[in-house]
Amino acid sequence: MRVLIVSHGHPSFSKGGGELAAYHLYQGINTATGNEAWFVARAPEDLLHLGTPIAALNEREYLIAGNADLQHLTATIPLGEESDFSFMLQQIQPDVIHFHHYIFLGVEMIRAAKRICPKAAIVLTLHEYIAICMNNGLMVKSDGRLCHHYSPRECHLCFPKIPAEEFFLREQYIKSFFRLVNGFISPSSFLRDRYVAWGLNPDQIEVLENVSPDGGMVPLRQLHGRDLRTRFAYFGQINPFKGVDVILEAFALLSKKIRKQVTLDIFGSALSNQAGEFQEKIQALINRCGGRVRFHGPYEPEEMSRLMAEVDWVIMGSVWWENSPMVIQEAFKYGRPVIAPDIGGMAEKARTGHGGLNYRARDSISLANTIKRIVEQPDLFDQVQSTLPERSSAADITQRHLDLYQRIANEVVP
Amino acid sequence: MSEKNSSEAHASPGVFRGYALSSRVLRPEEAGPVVVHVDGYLERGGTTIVVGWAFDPENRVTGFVRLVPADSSLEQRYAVYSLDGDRDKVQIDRVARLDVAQAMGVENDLESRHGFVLKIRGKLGDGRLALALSSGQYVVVPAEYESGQPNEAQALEWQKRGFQAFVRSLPTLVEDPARGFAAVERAYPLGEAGLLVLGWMFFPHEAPKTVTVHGATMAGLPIDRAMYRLIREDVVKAYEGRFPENAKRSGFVCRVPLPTKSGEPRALCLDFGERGEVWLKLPTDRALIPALDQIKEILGFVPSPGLMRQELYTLFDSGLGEAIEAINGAHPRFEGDVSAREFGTQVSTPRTSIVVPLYGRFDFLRHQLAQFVDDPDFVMVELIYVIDDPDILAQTLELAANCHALFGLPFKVVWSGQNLGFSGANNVGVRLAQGDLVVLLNSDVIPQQPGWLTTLSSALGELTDAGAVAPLLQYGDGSIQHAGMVPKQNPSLPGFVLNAHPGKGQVWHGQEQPSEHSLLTGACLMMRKHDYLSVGGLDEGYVIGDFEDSDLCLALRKRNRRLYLVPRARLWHLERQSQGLEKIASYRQLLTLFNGWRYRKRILQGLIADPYSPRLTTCVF
Repeated sequence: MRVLIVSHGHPSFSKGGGELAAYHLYQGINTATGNEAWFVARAPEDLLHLGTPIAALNEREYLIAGNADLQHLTATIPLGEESDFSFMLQQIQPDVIHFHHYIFLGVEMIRAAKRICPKAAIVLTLHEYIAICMNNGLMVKSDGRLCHHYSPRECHLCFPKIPAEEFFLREQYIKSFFRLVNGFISPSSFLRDRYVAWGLNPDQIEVLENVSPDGGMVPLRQLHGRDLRTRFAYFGQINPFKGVDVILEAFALLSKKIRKQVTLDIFGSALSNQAGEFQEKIQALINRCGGRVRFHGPYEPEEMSRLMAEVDWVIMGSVWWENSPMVIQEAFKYGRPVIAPDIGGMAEKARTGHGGLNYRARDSISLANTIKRIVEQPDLFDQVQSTLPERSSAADITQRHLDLYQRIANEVVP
Repeated sequence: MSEKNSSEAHASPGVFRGYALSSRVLRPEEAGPVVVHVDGYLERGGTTIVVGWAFDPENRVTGFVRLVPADSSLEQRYAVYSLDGDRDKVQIDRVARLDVAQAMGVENDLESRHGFVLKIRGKLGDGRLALALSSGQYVVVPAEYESGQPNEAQALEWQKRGFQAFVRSLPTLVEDPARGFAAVERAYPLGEAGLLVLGWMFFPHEAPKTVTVHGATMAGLPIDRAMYRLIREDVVKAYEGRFPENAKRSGFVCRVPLPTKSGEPRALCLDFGERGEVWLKLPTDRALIPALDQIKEILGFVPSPGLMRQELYTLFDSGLGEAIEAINGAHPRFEGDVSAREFGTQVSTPRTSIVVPLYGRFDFLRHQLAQFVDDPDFVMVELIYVIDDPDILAQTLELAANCHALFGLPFKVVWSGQNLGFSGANNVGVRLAQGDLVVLLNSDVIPQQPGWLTTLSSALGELTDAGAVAPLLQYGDGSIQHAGMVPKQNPSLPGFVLNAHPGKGQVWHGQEQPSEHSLLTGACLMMRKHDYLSVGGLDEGYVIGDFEDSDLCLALRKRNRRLYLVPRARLWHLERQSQGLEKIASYRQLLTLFNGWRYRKRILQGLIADPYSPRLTTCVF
């Protein structure tokens, strides 16, 4: 099969989880015999040429322009019969066009793809709630509360300048393109359920994990004397949605006695991009925790295994639903349990009896209590670690994708 | 020697008569001639008015006098009585006469005042009217006809000229404690329909015996009965403390049925009998502004419309409505050229033509195409977008090109270059339509499912005497936006017949079967093109838009066609803020009421059917 993968960014230039997942899938398909994959990624203008929205990196990888805004999701490049986009697709002749995203690219690209390649199967992976929620696809209200279901009126309350009818129009518009999708993929059941509630056909959405590179268990660090398995770590961006402040507050709340027995290492990037107020808040919290909390700054994905060697538990603090956080997959890959908030995709992927422990989302006291428990019950670590789930290899997940493509392709062109 | 022609005995009161008088030049060998001409002479109710001109380039005229012959011979001694000195008795105005200057070959003579208007209390008295020159000589103002009687045309012309000069000298505001306080604020010429006068007047003592409007050749037209009085708080305030009771309902609006073109001289006369007359000018000289702006200005004159709800229908019925109609109607139905651009290969023999007017928001085009493109019915559809807003033309065409490239569905975009309003835009679209069926479709209506056209056209073909069919329209939350309309009267707005949407905002529980209704909305309406054209399309006499769709429905019913709601066809109508009539604050709301008045008039005149007869039972939801 010839598979074209469309992403909203290329991992060389854009380090997000969605881009990486799409790229790993592309790489995986190319190694699977009998299949070929191409990768088309949106890139900002300054990385492209003048006079054409397409720039080929090599035989298989292309960059493409796109600046669709979040509300309208209207493509900003020509998509007609004579367009460069059309030419590119006709060159590639894909059997499957797999969109990992449509932000920046424009949701209309789906129709253009179908029009240019009528026999191709169209697949769409849903990574977040952009179609449903205009607050960056988070399903968090503009006042910070979690949002549980979509309604144009409630969306208007979050965005008072935009009338409810506009949200309804947006929904209908997006759905007119989603109707052309032959199969949806969701990395978590939670997200799938949200989209079914929004109106997608449950038979058309399959739950399938993102592809992540293989790796093996990294041995736990050696304990000496009365050392406990109480080394905690946070990996990821530092922004208000990731809840690093919740984690820090939890540590600040610990009694001196408990705190003396734990450490927290923060491996994080992008703090300097955040609003001044937030940066100050984080810095102040780090100071309150004294020497038990260490801030390491950014890290490269290649360093992960080395960093994990020094870590016992991985903590997530996200204040929104999350979908299938890469950090959970990484932690499990290297054999580390995850302490995660009890909402959304996080609670699905890491939970009691399934490689992790949950605490009440957004609640530092709840997290502090969990940490206290871990300190007071040294057996807990081994118990939880023993529940780490079997991981599918990258090749397995890639194959499952290919099976899905085949099934869908058969329905499109029987 | 009588200075008055015997023909004056036949003059009817109030008629401004001109004398055919030619000039006589005195002593041509003196430096420069003085040419004198009297345009008209009017004796009325104790006042004598003499209007004329004296072409006096050397400024030799020092004043007006009355020459009384000492004996019967004019050439001999005579007594001179100066008229200038007697301010109480005589008022002398020198006025500009560009026509005279032009005739005399003097260009751009804006500063001189060749004309004169003498207003003399009482009669002129004995003697002859003359101009005194600085040289000590006198130029007698001729009184007899020279070389025979003037012909009708000349007499008429002099009459008009004189009246014009007369009117020009009149005020538009009079504050006379002895007689009255009055102002004419606007006088809109309406052509054949007359003129619309707006202003105020009140009288501390007795009201005038008559109030009349005068033209050059017409007897005064009494208007006291035709004046609709309005409350004028501003007038009360201006005369605060002095005349509050009289001043309150001093406003008036009156449509005078005296055909008037822009600039034609018109005057208002308040006749107080023995206390004399007060004359005011009607300022008919209006710069040419678009009809809609005129209408807006006129409606702006309705003071405190929110407090006048109970009277608004009567107000429109008292001339205001006809005036607005005349102004709107002066701009005839659009028959001009329409530009068009086609996108894609159009269907060669379409069965149905869909006409969608675009105004303001044009991005609805994109949303509609996204829903139309996968509907198999559209293989037989001619889709026509009418751009009714010149400001969005360029962007709409660009969007159309984009959308065609993406969706591939063929359609055309047409425009007249003007804003024609709902009726005009639809009429333009249907004029170009080739299908046997037409669908009027608002841009903010989008289908819920494919196949709605087939559902509607089947119903139109099958239902008894069907003239038009409409789908169920729902808001985005599923509640009813339209399930038929009924006529409705509002006790706060007596006289008007408004349109109501029963069930709006409620849940639809109704039957799936079609049902007959009094009226249907024009937001999505299907009918045979033949029927649309035979009733003359949508009536363009409504200003901007309201009631045209119910008017069209009643026109169909007048021809014994019936109207059906077909709920199996369902579309979303993302109706934006439509103005409510609970609070009448803006001119737009008054305009809606004008349209409502006109709608009712057409019903009363039998031009369209009576929506109440037969009374159709409302659908249960």
